[in-house]
Parts: sequence; structure tokens; C-alpha cells
Amino acid sequence: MEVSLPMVWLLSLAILGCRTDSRCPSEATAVVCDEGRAIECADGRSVATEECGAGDICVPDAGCVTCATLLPDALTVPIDPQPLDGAEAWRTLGWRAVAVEGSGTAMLAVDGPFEAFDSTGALASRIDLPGHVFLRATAGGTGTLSVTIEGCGDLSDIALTARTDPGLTVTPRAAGVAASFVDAFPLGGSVRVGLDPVRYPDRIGSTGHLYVVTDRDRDAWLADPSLTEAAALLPRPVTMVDGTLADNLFEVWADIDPGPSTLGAFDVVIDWDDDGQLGPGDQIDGLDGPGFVALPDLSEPGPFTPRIDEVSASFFLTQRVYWPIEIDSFDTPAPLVVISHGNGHEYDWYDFLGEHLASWGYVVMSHRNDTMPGIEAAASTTLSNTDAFVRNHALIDSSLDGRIDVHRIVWIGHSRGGEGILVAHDRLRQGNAAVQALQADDIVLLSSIAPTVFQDPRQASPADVPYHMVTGGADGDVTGGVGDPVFPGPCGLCQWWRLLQGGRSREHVTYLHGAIHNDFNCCGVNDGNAVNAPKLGRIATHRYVKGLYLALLESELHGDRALGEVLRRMPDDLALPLPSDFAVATQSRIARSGEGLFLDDFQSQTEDPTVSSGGTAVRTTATGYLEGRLDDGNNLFAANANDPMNGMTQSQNDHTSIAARGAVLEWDGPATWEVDLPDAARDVSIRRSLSLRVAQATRHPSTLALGDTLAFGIGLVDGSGTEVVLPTAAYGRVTEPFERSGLGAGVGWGNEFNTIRVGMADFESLGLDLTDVRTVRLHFGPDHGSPVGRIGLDDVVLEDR
Amino acid sequence: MTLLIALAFAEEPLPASSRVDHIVWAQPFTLQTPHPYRHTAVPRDIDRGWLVELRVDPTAMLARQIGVPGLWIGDDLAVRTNWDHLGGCAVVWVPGDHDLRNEPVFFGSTTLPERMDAERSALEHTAAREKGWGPVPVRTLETKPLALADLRGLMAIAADRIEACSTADDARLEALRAK
Repeated sequence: MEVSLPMVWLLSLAILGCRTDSRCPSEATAVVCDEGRAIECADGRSVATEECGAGDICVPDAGCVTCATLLPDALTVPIDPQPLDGAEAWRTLGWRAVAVEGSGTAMLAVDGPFEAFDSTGALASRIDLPGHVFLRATAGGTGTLSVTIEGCGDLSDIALTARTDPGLTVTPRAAGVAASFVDAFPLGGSVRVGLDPVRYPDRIGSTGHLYVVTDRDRDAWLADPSLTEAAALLPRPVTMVDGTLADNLFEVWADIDPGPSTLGAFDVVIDWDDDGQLGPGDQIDGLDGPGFVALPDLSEPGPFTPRIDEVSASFFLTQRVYWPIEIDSFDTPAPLVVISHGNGHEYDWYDFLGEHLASWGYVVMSHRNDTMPGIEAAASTTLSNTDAFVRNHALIDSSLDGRIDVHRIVWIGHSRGGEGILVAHDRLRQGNAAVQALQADDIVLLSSIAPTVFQDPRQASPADVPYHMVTGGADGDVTGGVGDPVFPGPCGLCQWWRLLQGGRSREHVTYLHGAIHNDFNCCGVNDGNAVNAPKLGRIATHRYVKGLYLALLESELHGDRALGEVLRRMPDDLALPLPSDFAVATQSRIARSGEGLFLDDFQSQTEDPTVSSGGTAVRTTATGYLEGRLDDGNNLFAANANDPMNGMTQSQNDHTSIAARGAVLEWDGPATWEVDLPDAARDVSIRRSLSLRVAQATRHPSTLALGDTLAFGIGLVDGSGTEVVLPTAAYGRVTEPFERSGLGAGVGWGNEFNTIRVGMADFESLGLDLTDVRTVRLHFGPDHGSPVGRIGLDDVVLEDR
Repeated sequence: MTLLIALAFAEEPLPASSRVDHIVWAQPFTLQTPHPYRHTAVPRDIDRGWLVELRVDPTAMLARQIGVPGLWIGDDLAVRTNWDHLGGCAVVWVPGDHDLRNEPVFFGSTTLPERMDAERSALEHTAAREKGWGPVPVRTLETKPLALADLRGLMAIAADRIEACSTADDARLEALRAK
């Protein structure tokens, strides 16, 4: 802001001298305005007067101000597409603010995907001056804000650019990627803040202080915007310099340790005006929910004390209940987690999980499951036990009365029980369940541990409920293979991943190398004796599973974004505890409920490999490119040139309506696979990430030649021809097939898909124009990762969430 | 008929033997509270049956999810209460009245019991007869019924038998005795 201090002040002072002036505040130094004049006051006297010139206005405390310099030329505005619920003042703290000086009223006009608000959070076409205009974008794009102030006429327009707001906290990446914006940091990790000059060019050269504040919710921030740093984390000065994100990384917490039994939740604020308050113009990560979470060891007990009760009304209405004795002090009722065991298992074999989840605030009920007759009987027992518990839990202890949220129920099933829960939910959906107090909508999450597939996957389907599956690579019972070790012939009911394809909501998949079937309970028979593969062991499996379920439940039931990252980021990037010589392959399919755009899921347009399921062009220079059912062609995993889908266990003979499809391809030199975006979807600035699923082809000569985890490059090409290519190795590794033999010659079990997910902000920070992306291009070969390889490819998705 | 049997077991030929050696002990029981019997395609409530301890091929007693052969006692599939894959002790119960000295006892196919309809049952019994499988020796046959309140009472008695004969079921005894 330019403030003129002309010689006329000195002249006025000389001519008029100092005198008491009613326009001046007593006992203070200030500049006041009066009919286009700026009057400098001291102790109630006017000491100087300035006549503001043409095109200038008087601004209290600032004096004569040139109208043309009142406003910035350009601003980046965060995209916030969430609907408004009336005037929500708290939300202005997360929007971009423009300070408008002067007096009187400013008229506002905004175009493009932008909206202007006043300080109450109400949509505004005018504001009182001096004041702030708050801006948000509801979509990607550009536009302008025009401000008209009496006395100034029309000010120059502010050019607005909409950008997603990925937050402030980042994790550094390997070469080729500066850093990624994340919310979760592991024990012993390092929290950094990243300021992206590409995203916020208008802030280049700005200085401020960076605060890490113990997490406050939005109402608390509105009530108390003061910045009080978390213990031992002093505010530090920051200056955004010209350059890249890599030039603007600031470490705020090294070797983090939130302490035991706690999820350390914090907000991050950059106080750009250095007034010690969160106010207009500042930046916050964590206005609604934590800015970042410092994760403890999630397998360690939580802060509550678990109690165990046994109840039995009949043989198959027998339950073990785990609950926190502090439950009557909870602000909200605790969700209910039901465990349905497998065949030959017992309901009291899951203490490790029940006690763990109870220590973190969940009520867990593990019941006797009638699995021997089959899946229908198991489903009946899951239904009857859950229904009985919903109706009668207050009889266990009066402190449970009203303290359990019976409309947020999670069903976890192991083995036959893992399939039974899907059939049970299908019955609820179809209205065929013999229950009194249970509705389909009450089941908010389904999780299967090493499930069987006796039923048609159209019935044993998660349908529209978020779904999770965890299985073990060394399972000697439900093997995940194409054949059974005891009975020769095809084994469709061994192929757990078939159950995923009928889902229409989020799906998370965990594949633990080395875990056997009964590692997931305490006491089942050692089914790994006949399995020729390394074994993870029960202790390590339990440790992993406890952390996994805590992350899953906190993410799906409480919307905890940070713990959701445990599921969404690749294990190399954010790991749960696992011995270093064992790997885990994870999939996180978060766009299946419509929260994204599938560029190619290979489920349609199956006749022409040059056309994606979205109807756009597909091009590849890779060898052996083929689309088809993800269904191994015989009962063996041995490499077979006549079986291009060798190792695929996602779709054994399944009905066409749900048969999982994908593609395979290979390379031994430079090669690409690419898909174009639909014309109407080229603006990806509102998207959060690009994801795809990739599996190495088991026992294939190219896989054996690589003999390692696999990597390649993911590129986006914008309308100017600029391409930004990011190495997948920076995010995590595509696992090598689990080293298990059997089902033919060679070593390597079923093809295990891994979800690779790259944030849009990572592309943008390297100069890509996200408003006009034309093509997704995968680069294979020595310049981008593995020199040789063969993969299965599926679900190339632009994700919103 | 032979062709039909061959088709029925095309994916799973019956083993060479019935894999049942003998019945060690058996006693009838009654239940005051009927219990649903679901080892059939047409479930029914039962209030009487037999608790039976047998010596069998241990490989048929491995607790698995798939490939679990059904144990026929007469025309009914027995309900297992234990999984002694090491010693071959099988403690089971079957619904209704049975002439255990004269009825066939054998392990059949791995078809899920709840899918066992009359047609499949007939096929399995025909196949068993053609293999020469029939009654097995019976060591002790109690005649006085155990009068029990419900199935939990039966399971408590079964747990005692299991504890005495089985080498692989310690971890399930507490659950079987739960009241």
C-alpha cells in the first residue's frame, strides 16, 4: 500500500501550528479522515492535514491512499465445494480474504466459479468499509473480483484462480517429487510444512510465523482465534520464496512422539500478519478436523480400560462382549463392532482384537457362529446375535444403556463368517432377515478376514456398504489360489478377491505376506504346515491387524482423514508395524461410490482395446497388451504363454454383470500406456488424486527377470503439451508376488494388486496446468523405473476425495 | 445310477474308505428347549438325538473352511463338536432316533450340509453302499437318555468327552462349556 507523505503536511504544520481538534482522539496518535482530508493527530491535537489528491481516498490510520493500489492484482482462492448451511462464519477462516480499506460501502461483483462473502459467512454483494471480502471457489477455473468504492470509482479487477487446498503439512518424497501434502505422520517421523509458490504466487515474498497448535474444532477457533503454540513447538518465522515447493519446506517437528495411547492431533497456522491471531489473510490447516495427526503405534492399547463379559441365552446366542468401563463418560455413544468367527473356530478366540478396540472406545461383541452347516446358517447367527445384542445390551450392565450407537454397526467376519456377514447384509437389504431391531442402514462397514466364496458373489456382496478385506498369503485353508491343496481341481471358493467386485462403495484390501488362516485368531490349528512359504506368525499378524482395524474404524466411522491415510497411502509410505522381511500389498478403491471419474476400469467397451471404458482413446507401445477377465485360465499358477491372465483370482467364472476385468501388458525397454480424458473432464483442479491398481504377473519370465518390487512413471499431459511425470517409487513399491510355491512349477502366489495414488497437488507443484489435462500416460522402462516387467492394470481413476 | 453318481462326484471322488473305525460310546438325549438342526436343506427343530463319540481318520477331522466331509449317521449328517485332527476322536450329535448298530456311518462329500437335500443324500448313500460302507462296530451304547434343558447342557457333556479323548481341542473347551 502506497501512502503519500507530501510536503503539504509540513507546510500545514508550519502555517497552522498544533491545536486541539475535536476530530482527534484524546491521548493517542492516529490519522483520522474528514471529507477527503487526512488529519494526523497526537494527544487530541491535529498536527498535520493532507488533502487527498484525485484518485486517492483517505483511510483511517493510513492517510491518503491511492485507490489503484488498494487491492492486489491477483489471488489464488481455495476450492471449497462443500454446500453452505446458511451463514457459517467459521468457514471464512479457511477462505481467502481481501482487505478493503476506505470508508462507506464497497460494491462487489464476482464471476467465474467464485463466491464472495462478508465476515459473517453470508454471501455478499457489498461490505462496509473498512472490511474484508472472503472468497471461495466452488470449482476449478479463473474469474475476477470487481470492487467499487465511492470516491474511488471502479478499482482494478482482481484476477482470481481457483486451486484445491491440499493443506500445509507435507511429507518429503524421493527425487522427482518435492513433497506430498498429507495429514498423518508416523511415530519418529518428521512434520514439515510446504508452501507452494506455484499454487500461491501472490504470497511470494510474504513473511509470517508458523504455529503448531493443539487441535481445535471450528467453533473453538471462532471463539478463540489466539495462537498458542503446542508445548515445545515454538512458532518459527517463514518467508515464501520464489521457486518451487522444494524451496519452501519448513520442518516443524522432528522425531515426533505424541506419547502413548493418544492420537496426537494438531492444527497448523501461518500467521501472515503476525498479530498472534488466526484472522483474515492467515492460512490454517485443520479448521475442521485436525491439520495433522502424529500417529502412535496403533497396535498399542488405547486410553480406555476394557472389560469383558460373557452372555448366553442359548447355544447359538452366546457372546463375549468387550467394552470400555469409561463408556458412561463418552460424549457420544460408542459404535458397535460384531465379530463372526469361522468354521471350527470359537467366539472367544478374538480377545486380542476385542480388547484392543475396546481400549480405543469401541464396544465389541464376538458371538458363537453356526458355520458348520454353511454360509446361510452363519449369516443367520450373525443376524440373530446382533439383533439380540441391540435389543438387550443394557442387561449386561446398566452403564451400557443408551451408550452404544446401534445405528453404527460394523460386522467383521472371519473365513466362513467373513462370507456370512455379506449374506446377512444381503438379507437385510432384501427384507429377508428374521430380526426385530436391525435395519440394513445400521450396518455401516463390513470387513472380511480370509473369507470363503461358497455363494454367488452377487449375493455375497458388500453392495453399497464400505468394505474391507484382509487376507494372508500363506493361508493353508482358504488359500487365495486357483486350486485347493487337498482336493484337486478348480477352487473358486478359495479366491477371496472375487467378493470385491460386487461392491459399490469404498473398498480397502490388505494382503499380508506370510500370514496363515489362523494367524487371525488366537488358537486355530496351524494351517501353514503344508504351505511352502515364509510365515509371518501369529504375534506379528495380531500386531498388524490391531493397528489396521483401529485405522479402518477411525477412518470409516469417525471420518478421520489422517487415519484414513493408513489405508490410502502405500505401505512403504505410511506403514503399520511389520517385520522388515515381510511385505503387504494394499488396495484402496475409494471412488466406487461415485466420488471420482473412472478413466478406464475395463468393465465396458471390451471389444476394442483402443477405447477406454470411459469412451476415450487408449494407446500403448507395450508388448502383449490384452484386456479381459481377471481369471486365471487353468488351475495352476505355473507360467503359461497360453494363459495371459495367469495368476488372476479376481473373477473365477463369475457372472458377466460383476466379473472383474482388467488388462495385462509387459515391457523390456521403453514403453507407454496412455488414456485420454473426456473433453468435459479436462479440468482436474477439483480432483484430489490419480490412482490406479497394478499387480505383477506371478511366475512370468519378465517378473522373474525383474525379481524385485516394480516401479514406473505416471505422467499427466496438459493442453500446452507440458507433461509432468512422477516416479511411482516415490510413493511405494508394487509388491513382488509372495514367494509361495505350489499349484504348478515355480514360485509366486496370486497376482496381488496394489493401489498407487498420487496427489494432484504433486503434479501442480511441478508446473502442470490442472485446469486442462488431456492425457494420463504411464511410462515403463529403465528411464522411469523397472527395466523389465509384466503387470496387470486396472481402475485408472481421478479421485475427488 | 452309476452315471449319476459319477456326475455328482465328478469334482470330488469319494475316498477309498469310509474313514470311520468304530463308535466308542453313544447315549441318547432329550432337550427341553428344542434346537434348530441346520445340517440339511430343510432345517427343523429337534428335541432328541444321540451324542456319539467315534474313532475316525484324523485327516477327516481337520478344522477347515472348505473340503470338510460330512459325517453320515444313518440318514442324518452329524453335527461336530470338536476337531481332533491329531488323534481322530470325533464327538458329534445327530438328531432323532437311530439304530446305531445297524445304520451306515461314513464320511461323505464336502457339500455344505445346508445344501444337502434328499436327492443329494440319496446319491451319497447309494455311492456308500456301492463301496460296501455300512454300520461300524459299537463299543458302548447307553440307553438311558440324558435329559437336558437345551443344547448348552449337551455341549457341556460333549466337552467332558472331548477333554478325555481328544488331543487337539483344548482351546475350545471353555467355549463349549459356556453357560
